[in-house]
Amino acid sequence: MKILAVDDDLLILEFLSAVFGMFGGHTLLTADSGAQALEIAAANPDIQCFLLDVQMPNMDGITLCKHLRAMPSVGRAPILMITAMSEKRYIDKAFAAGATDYINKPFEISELRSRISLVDSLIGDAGITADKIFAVRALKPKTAGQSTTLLTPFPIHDIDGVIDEVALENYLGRLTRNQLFGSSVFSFAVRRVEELYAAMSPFDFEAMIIDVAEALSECMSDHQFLMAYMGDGIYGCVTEDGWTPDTERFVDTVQLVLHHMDLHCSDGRPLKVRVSAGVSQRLTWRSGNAAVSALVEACNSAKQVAEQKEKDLDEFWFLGKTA
Amino acid sequence: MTMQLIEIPGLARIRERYYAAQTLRHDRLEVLLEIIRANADPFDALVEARGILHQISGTAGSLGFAELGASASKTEYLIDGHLHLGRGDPRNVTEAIDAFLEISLDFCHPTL
Repeated sequence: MKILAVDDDLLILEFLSAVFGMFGGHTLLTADSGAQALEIAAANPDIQCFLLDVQMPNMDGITLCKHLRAMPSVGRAPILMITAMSEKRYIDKAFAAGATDYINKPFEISELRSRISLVDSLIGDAGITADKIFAVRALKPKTAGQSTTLLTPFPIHDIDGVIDEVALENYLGRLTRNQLFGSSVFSFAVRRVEELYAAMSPFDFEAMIIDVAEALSECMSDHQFLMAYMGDGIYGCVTEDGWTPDTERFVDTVQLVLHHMDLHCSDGRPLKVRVSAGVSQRLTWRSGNAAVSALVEACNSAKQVAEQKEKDLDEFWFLGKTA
Repeated sequence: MTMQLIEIPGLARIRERYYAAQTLRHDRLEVLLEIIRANADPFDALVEARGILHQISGTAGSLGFAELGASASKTEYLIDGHLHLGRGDPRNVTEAIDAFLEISLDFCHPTL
């Protein structure tokens, strides 16, 4: 794997070069500033992974992460942020900027090796954004005739707070109980997503998913949050500061924003999109796999609510009638 | 297989270079400590000291100097709290930097 490590401390770069030399199997490029990193990234479109120190003078790692994500040649490569363990505010900002995961500094050799091996194996399979089997999909296996595109998440860029689903899972899975205290998870589902998917081109479907993400992001803009598209019309969210939405009112607000967006397919057909919210869960004293499980439960809940709402709508005219 | 820090090729050379860098950082922190002690609102000096301690905590810990790294991290955290939240007695900050410098002396290059 070709990796670019960026740190303003030359000793850290020298240390990483020695460590990766010991690991073997990788080519490590180094840069001691954000500006130099961008030059190297532009000249090396085959870079497969970035290691970025968060705190650097002039251009910090978070700004650099945003710039790298905007580069077509390397913009989808995994980005691992290097940060001190206690800096949760930097971790949150890093994920919001598009980081895939983070590594603690001081470095633990075994941790560094395992994070790099994980990235390497994901890249080696089929691309990190496509092949990570998130638990939501594991719980909802693909059935015959269903297209992969409906169930498979895809990255959404340039919308505030929206990150890759792999990154959201890493974020939840890596933070400690104390760091997640006060966080909540919840999710939204596009109603009748299977019908919508069947009725439009994959391009239009992706555009619709991005538009809904934009509407959700806009409605949460007063709060600190991270959100990812999990596939199957579902969006998983993590919020901070104890905030969880009043779901009914929030969904009404989202519907209003979607209405104002006046969505259309590329062939001119108007697009009626409705969303539902699942049950939110506070992450009080939940971390690691338990926190990821809470997100899975929230996603399943949103899907169930969406299906129930549509069922209720279908049966509305028959309520009170007997055979 | 668990890899140990000691297995890293060239670690001794990197550590030698670290001692030299630490000497410069130590000297700068001594100057900053005097500025912090002498001023009622030494914001810039605290910010610079925090940056130096941040670098030390990341590098020293990675190279196996756990005590130095932990002390730098603790002092950085204390300064950060003071800068962001106005938390704590300023004398605690100067005492913490002073205590850090005591530990730091053992990691400075004696020939510089």
